[in-house]
Amino acid sequence: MDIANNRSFVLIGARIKGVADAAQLEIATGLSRAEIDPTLQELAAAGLLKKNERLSKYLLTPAGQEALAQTLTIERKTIGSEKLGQIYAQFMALDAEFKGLASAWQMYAQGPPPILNDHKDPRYDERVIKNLVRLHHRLVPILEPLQQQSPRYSRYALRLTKALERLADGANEFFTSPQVDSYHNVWFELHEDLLCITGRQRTE
Amino acid sequence: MPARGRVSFMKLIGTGENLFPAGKVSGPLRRLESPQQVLELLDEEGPEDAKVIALTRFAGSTFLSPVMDKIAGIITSTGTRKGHLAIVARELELPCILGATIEECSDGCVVLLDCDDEKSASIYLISEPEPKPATD
Repeated sequence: MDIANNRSFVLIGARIKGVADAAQLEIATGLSRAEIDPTLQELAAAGLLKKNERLSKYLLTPAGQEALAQTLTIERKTIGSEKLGQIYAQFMALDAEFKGLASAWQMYAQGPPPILNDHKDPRYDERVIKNLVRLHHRLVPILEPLQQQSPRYSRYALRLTKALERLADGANEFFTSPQVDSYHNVWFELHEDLLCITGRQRTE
Repeated sequence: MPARGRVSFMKLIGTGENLFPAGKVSGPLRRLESPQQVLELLDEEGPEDAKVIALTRFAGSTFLSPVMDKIAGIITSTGTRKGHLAIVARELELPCILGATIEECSDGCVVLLDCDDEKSASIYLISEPEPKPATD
């Protein structure tokens, strides 16, 4: 992995996380701590990241946002705006469905008032997970053209697959919990990344 | 938390869609609309159980994740029941008011979220923030 890529990976990771530490960026980027730590130091020294010393957390400075914007502009030109637009549209066609599945995982019925899923009906849970697996297999080919041009998108596919595997093994938190690298968390970050690279704003 | 009957004496300052019946919760209002504001909250030292009522326009953002354990409730002016913030709030059982309209209210105002109703929620002002002591 070359240094310029490492810097870009860490900058986009910091942008998407908002506030992040080295361990979180390790998960997000797939870089090792041996790669992340010096990259964070370089970016902080260059004024592109600001470090909170007490918490060892980083966030983008205005200069960092500008540097990231330049990197994304190059990526956008390399991949092509039209192609990116198509990929984004394909992703958004799945996004509404995914949020529906996440809601179905959390609630038997939306209400109001909602009837929460207590996970005591294994057949219900199995149905929702099967639908998520089908959705996952429709998402992966959408990301493949991006992965060819921009390696960091492989990381999202890998993290989503890992979350799905944990969920299939019975770790329910890997669907929607914000406290682990859950499917919902990774999906959320992937969407944020796609918004960044396409130059769009999130509507919801 | 104030007794149930006292709600009627407080000033109603906002309403919105209730994500789920979650009772009442109060705390100091805190705008969280940027990573910088999130980091400031994260960096504050104080009682571990001190929590805020988060006010944000960005129901679909990722940057609130680091401070979710410092939040007692969420008010957002946007968002839907199937949106990302709704999914996270439901997962953490955090009272959450979506599509809220709220009067201008500074950080530190102590507010109460009445999330008893199945559909709608109300926001009441309990107290204004204490003025900071003058520095010589």
